[in-house]
Amino acid sequence: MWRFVVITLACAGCTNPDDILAVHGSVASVDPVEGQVVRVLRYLYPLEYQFVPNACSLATPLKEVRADAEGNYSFELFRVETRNAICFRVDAHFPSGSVAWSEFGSYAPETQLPVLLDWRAALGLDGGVLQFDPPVPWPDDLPPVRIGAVTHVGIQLAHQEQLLTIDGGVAWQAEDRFPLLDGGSEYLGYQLEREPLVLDAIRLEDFEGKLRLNAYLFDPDEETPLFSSGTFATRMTAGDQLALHGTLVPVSRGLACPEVATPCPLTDGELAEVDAGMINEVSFKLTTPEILSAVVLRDAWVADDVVHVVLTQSDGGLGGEFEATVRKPDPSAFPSGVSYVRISDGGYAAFRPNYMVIPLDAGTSTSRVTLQFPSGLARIKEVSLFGP
Amino acid sequence: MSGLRAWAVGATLVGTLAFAQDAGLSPDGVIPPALMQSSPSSWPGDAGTGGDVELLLTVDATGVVTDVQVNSSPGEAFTNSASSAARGLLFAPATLDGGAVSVMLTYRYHFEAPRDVDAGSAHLTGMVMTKGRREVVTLAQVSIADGGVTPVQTDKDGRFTLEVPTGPMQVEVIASGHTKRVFKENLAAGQRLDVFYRLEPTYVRPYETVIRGQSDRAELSRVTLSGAELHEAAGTGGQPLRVVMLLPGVVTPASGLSYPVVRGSLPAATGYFLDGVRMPQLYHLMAANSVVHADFIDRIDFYPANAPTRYGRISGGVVAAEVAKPRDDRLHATIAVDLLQSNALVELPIQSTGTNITLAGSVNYAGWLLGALAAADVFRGVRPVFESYDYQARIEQKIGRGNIRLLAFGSSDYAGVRDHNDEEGGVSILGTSRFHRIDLRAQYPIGPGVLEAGSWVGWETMGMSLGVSGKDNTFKLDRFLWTGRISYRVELGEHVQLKAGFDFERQVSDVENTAGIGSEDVLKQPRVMGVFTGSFVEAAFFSKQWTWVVGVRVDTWHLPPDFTLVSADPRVDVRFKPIDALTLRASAGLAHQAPMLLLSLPVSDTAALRSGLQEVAQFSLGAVGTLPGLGLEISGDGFYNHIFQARERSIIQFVTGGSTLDDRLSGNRWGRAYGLELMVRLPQQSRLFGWLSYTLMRSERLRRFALFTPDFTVAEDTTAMLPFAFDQTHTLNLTLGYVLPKGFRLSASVHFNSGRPESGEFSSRTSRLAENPETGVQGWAEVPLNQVDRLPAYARLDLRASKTITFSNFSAELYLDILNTLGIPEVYGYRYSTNVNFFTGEPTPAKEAFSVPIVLPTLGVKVVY
Repeated sequence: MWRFVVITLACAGCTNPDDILAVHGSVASVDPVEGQVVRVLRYLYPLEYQFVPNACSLATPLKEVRADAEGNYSFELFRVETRNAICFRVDAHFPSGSVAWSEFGSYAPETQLPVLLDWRAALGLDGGVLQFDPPVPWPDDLPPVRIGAVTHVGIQLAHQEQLLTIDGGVAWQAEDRFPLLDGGSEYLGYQLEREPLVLDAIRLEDFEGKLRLNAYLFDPDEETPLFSSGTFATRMTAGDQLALHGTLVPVSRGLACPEVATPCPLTDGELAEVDAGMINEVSFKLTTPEILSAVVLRDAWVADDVVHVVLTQSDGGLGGEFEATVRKPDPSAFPSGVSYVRISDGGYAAFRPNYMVIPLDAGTSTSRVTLQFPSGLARIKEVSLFGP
Repeated sequence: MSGLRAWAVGATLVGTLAFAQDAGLSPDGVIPPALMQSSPSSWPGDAGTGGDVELLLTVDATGVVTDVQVNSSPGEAFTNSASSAARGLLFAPATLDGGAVSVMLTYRYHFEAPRDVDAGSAHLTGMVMTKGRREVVTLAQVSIADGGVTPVQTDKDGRFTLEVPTGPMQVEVIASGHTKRVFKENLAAGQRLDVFYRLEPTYVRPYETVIRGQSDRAELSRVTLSGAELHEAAGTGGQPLRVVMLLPGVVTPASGLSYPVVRGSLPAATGYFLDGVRMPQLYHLMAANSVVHADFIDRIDFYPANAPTRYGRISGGVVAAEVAKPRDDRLHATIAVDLLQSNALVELPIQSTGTNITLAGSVNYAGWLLGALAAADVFRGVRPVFESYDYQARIEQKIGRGNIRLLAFGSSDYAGVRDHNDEEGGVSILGTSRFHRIDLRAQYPIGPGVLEAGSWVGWETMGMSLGVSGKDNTFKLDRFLWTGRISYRVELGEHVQLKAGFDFERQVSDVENTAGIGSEDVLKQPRVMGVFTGSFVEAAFFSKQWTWVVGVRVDTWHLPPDFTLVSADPRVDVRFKPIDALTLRASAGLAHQAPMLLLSLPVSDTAALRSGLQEVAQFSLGAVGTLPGLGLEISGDGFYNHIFQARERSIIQFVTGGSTLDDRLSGNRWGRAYGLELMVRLPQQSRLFGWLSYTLMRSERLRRFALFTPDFTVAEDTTAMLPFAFDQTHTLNLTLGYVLPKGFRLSASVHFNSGRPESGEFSSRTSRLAENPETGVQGWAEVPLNQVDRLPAYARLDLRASKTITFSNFSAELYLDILNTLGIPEVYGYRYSTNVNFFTGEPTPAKEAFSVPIVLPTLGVKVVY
């Protein structure tokens, strides 16, 4: 009680609902930006206590402002508008089709947001490897970022590619920022790995859609002119999108998966989400034995980091046994899609979609493929088996 | 010596003293006249057996008896004799506020028929002194109880010689201001006995302080309290300065917090002075003892508005304490010890050089006690910290007709709560406040008036440390001040007084801050410097019925290098006395002050000066009168303060530089305070004393605020005149004291106030239950400023009991004083929360009153030597 006494009396007026909170920012584009609409969105915490993960993605529009000829914009919030608000988001939808947004959840008298950039990525595929122009030049080095040292590193840049089918499903997703783990699973921070974002034939399969490229930018040291304040990240989606149409049909198309459902929703080529009920094993029996080269999992929510693949020959012998480790991207850059699912011990675990390619090099003909999830599989959209 | 004589001796009757010049004023605060020359009456001869003649004398300002009226007499012969003799009496005149005044008093001649003195007589010689004070009593009447002997009076050394009959006898000693006492003696024929008699004073004041509404007779809104009213008012701990909290027009933000809010202003609008030297605070930790020793203070002038022009740059009230004049008769000392602190005062005159040295101070040891309790884990891992001390020192030297006085005083507070678990989420909050002053002042008669010049330097430190999870965030402010002043006052005859003066003040402030940037880094704010000057002239005119005081003060406010503001404060006070028992009074004036924070922070005024000055017009109209017979003094004053420019901000606005919708009002940010102050007072004329003060008040500010819905969507912003953060509609104080026999005293005070707005400015912000339209679940939602509730009303009972024991050379007072005896908690706000059932997840809104029963007990003893 005494703490409340002191805080209430000593901090008189600290949270006056009529406080004016000024927010400033700017937009930038190769095109003129005068009049560019910037939306202010807010997500309110419900009156009752309720945990809402990734709440800012649920923000609804609160007001709109327009940028001046220099691209600057500003708006004011009353402190009362921040009450119960988990976060605010400002976004700009540019005529080019690109979208940039930034989010903030702490409310100072003056807030300077980073530039919302009209990102022209010049997308292209070269041998299945995505080619694009990053929103800012690649940093010279990308040291691992350990927890507690975030404020002492330079610009952080991460990308995410998404192949969206015509009906909106995500056929493939990949990122270039991963957790930094200490041997086992202890989370030390994250590291940026500028691995090529690959979208080859087996990842493309026979889906038709558009390639969307997202970026995450953060500069805590305010060392670049792009950011006037390093306290907020900005996220953006490139305006140009690449139309793609795959032609490779997996050998698993139409196979049964009795452990899940009949007919099998995992091999139908439809990117519909399937509740797998935390099963530990799914098997597919090939109509004719095949030499397999890869197993692809799309949007698989696994309870731990390990997936086992067991190949069985037609005579029942073991054709091969493989173990793949799920490499989950760091969720802080692209938090969308993270969700919480009740797991077997009664608790909840944070899941996010995984898109995996598990290479198989058994060299022998396989008539049955068994996927094992030691701690359970929560959800999955599609499983694809590819021949040589 | 002749054997037969007939004499009568006069004796003053204290307690029926009244002003001859101003019967409408209370005699309290008046120093009664002292008999300097007696005038014995002769036995009228064959007039009977004798008796008492009671006279009503008018003694003028020179001490001469100018009028004699007879109240009672045993016969005309005695009346004529007594009346004739009384005109020969000569008094040291009564004084009020240091000036001689004319008074009326009753005086009694006692006539005894002459009788023979036994030829075998004896001689009784001796000295009469005041018990407990070691002061001789002059003009005491010494006689034999059964008469027959010519009474004698003690001389200037308190000595007497009385020719008495032999055998057992009762020697009766009567003296003004003392209790009559009878001593048993038995003398043989021819014996000469030297005795030493001590008389009990009719009152024993361990303190000798007077609090008054104003020191200048021409000024209005006078509230005069003195003696027991000051030191025996329950709940004040015997601290005269805390009695200010019980006066009309004064409210406090929280019970027990001695932080006066005067006439709807804000705390920082009231200035505190000690002998003209401004103090940043009156009390340790805003709630404990005064930062100045009670005996160091001679009187306290309280001006709720329109203070004299020598007080400038203040837009609210003024509490001005004057240090006691040095006593040069002997060494004086007091020491007081109570449960939480001790204080002492020593006054040392050096008569050979005309020097007087006074030292005083106090130290609080509550922290040691709390530490011991914390060590026993009474506070469950939390250790309250409470350390404070203060000191005062004065050296005064007479130089010719003038004098020079060096005054140094200061105070230090360090308090808060330290959480031993602060590295695991606990919160430690510690604050410090420290100031020092050194003032050199000289007074010297020049021409027809008195010139006074002085200069003081001061240092102040204020800091706050907030430790959260092992990390300290500190804010520290240091300020250095240097001032100078000069004034000249001249009396032009009886009717005109003129004053003029000039003062300046230079401030340099430094702020260091580590909040939010890591405890190893220190953010130093730019140094803030300000230079202020004030020039004033004041003219007063006095007549039998009218008093006019007109003055103006011009201030300059300069921030180097090139920012300057100029303000002019005209003031006028008028008093009219249509009859002796009634005085009408009115005042008007304009006051300016630098911008203020709701809770005072020293540097804020200078730092925010560029936003302009607070400008307040102050008006009051009232009357004070006495009810003959009952002895009650009744006063009533209405006031209206119009705040043309309200420069009042919250601390957080100042610290963060943030703004609110109010700032959009710009030059239209104004306000007003108006109300009625009533006081009914029974001065201590008998065993009972007390007063009732009541204030009906409204303090408002024009506010601009947002109108929003329970889902925190702002529909619009609007303006309205709304109650101020410290607005309290009703404030009532009833104080009663009773003097019991044998030195016992009891007093009780009842305080009541209605609640402040729950506006979030010095409380929580009103929230109401709202329903989530999607889920139907209820939760708390704040309301717009014009819909806030008021905090609950509050009442408390304070009690005080004391016992004075008079010893031969000193006296001791034992006292127990308890503020909030019943431990009634005051609600400062509410905590609006939602409790979630751990198992079902069901949310339950809860509204919990935040209240702490602040009880301030003081048990101690004070010894006066």
